[in-house]
Amino acid sequence: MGAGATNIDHIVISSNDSAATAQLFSENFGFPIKRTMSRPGTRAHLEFAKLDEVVLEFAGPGEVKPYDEVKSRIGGLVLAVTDIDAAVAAVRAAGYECGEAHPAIQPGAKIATVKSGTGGVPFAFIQYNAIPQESPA
Amino acid sequence: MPAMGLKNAFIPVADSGEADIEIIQPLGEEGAVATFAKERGEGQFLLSIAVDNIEAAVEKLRAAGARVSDPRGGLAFVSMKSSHGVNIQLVQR
Repeated sequence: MGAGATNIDHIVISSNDSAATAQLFSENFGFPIKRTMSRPGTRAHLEFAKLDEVVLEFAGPGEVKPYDEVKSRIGGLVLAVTDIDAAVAAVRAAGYECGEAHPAIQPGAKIATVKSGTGGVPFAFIQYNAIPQESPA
Repeated sequence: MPAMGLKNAFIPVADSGEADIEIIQPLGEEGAVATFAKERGEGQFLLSIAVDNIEAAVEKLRAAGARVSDPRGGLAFVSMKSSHGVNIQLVQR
């Protein structure tokens, strides 16, 4: 039984200056930055661009020090699934560790992190529309 | 790909064929993949972007300021100086 992935949802690019890396990618590759956010409580600064349907998430510290050199690397992969509980069960049935699905930053979405068997690749599943959202009054 | 000193396998992400995860293993101690594995251990090696016309894509990226290798065998590599260190390749669909 597979995990039922439908597509790559996003790829994380980790950087010691996520804003600078996002800007460089935007300039060099023409990916417009769609959104920026600083995550409260995590001291992280995130910027998002789109490569066709795949989101590039540039993640870095909230406070940037005066680095000699901005360095980045591919920092993780998130696959979209239609049933995250089934995906978690499939990973566990295959003998690997997977955390429980929990609410993601994205409204209505749940995310679960695969914790073993990924060959050193930070790896997670995300399901959109997993949590009913209240419609605006 | 023994000629490139690599062993590889593709895992399709979904039935659509829009994306694959490629697992690569160096067969020796030489080459970019072996060096990467030696220095950083297992992990994500590169981001591969499929394009319809690799010559046009290379031209477009160069015009935008990126340093990109000449296309060869349907592949072109972006200089890591143009990506703050992220390994990126373009592949002809």
